[in-house]
Amino acid sequence: MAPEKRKVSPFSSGSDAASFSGKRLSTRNSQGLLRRLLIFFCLLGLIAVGVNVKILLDTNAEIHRHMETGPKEAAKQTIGAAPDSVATLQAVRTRIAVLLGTIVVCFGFILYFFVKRVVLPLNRVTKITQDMSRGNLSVSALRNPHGDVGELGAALNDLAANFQEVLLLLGTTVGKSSIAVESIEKALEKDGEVSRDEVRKHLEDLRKDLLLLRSLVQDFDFYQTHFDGQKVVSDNIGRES
Amino acid sequence: MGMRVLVVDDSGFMRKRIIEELREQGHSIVGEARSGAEAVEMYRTLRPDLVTMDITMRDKDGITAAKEILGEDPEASILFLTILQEEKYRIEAEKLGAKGFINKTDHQSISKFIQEMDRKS
Repeated sequence: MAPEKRKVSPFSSGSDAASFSGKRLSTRNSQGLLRRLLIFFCLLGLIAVGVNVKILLDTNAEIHRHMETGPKEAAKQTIGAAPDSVATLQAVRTRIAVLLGTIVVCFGFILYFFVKRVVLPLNRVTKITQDMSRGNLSVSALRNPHGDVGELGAALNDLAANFQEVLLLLGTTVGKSSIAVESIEKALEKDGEVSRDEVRKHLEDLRKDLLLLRSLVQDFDFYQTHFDGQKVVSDNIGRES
Repeated sequence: MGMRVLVVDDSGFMRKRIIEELREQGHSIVGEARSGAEAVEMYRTLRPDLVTMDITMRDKDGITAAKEILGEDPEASILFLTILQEEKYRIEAEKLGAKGFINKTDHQSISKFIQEMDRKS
């Protein structure tokens, strides 16, 4: 069976394998965190339900004992128990049953909203971030950037739009510059005299394109480096701030 | 005098560049929209003198947003600022009744165009 072809990103470096394993690791981490959170929620819910069920069963047993042996006998058998009537115990049992029902419903709602508002959008944002990091800028993080993860999705959309804009500007500028260079070459290859004005015009176009690219790069902030207009300069790498 | 401008572009850094340029010329920025849908909503409430509109945006492109704005207010002034220099978009913009269609990297043309608009208004 032929090995599956992986789409190679135009942005991936020589340490491609390392970066991809890093992405897998981060996905596993985020999914692991979500799974742990869900387990924690479920455990909390189960403990609350378990405690309530235990109290309910105890109360039920107490009621049965009262009904079988009579309240006085039951009070003797239960150390420290108050001589409650069967009616009081039944009222307690009803209250606990209502409490149990309320806990189950609340827990269900919390779990539903947690999964709907946090887990699923976060998973989607994680997947889209991975696609974007592999060079697919056409994916959209969230169509409707509201809710708990909405701002994150909106910021991601903005980041992808910035990147796309820069790349398209870069492509356009490179295209125009190539045309200018070709025109200069043609002008120089012409027999006889070279039209200085023509060459000057193309050089002016090239200069404009380069100025545009320079201003574009200077608009960004970088980690550990900056662009001084001519070259990339490091900012105290390896020194403590 | 200066115009009240609504800047529409999905790229944050491009909005920043356009806004800086416009502020330098003495215009005031009344709003920033990062999608066509946001642009339509903001136009309704802000009623700016001019809208600078990108074309390629995620949820609603600039052409569709401009159609909606001009449908509601035929007097709206919309200036398309885009990297797309294809003739079909220029023609589409003209048909819609946009005030202009300029390459967003051509700052000189943008400045000149807006100054001219400001003078006329």
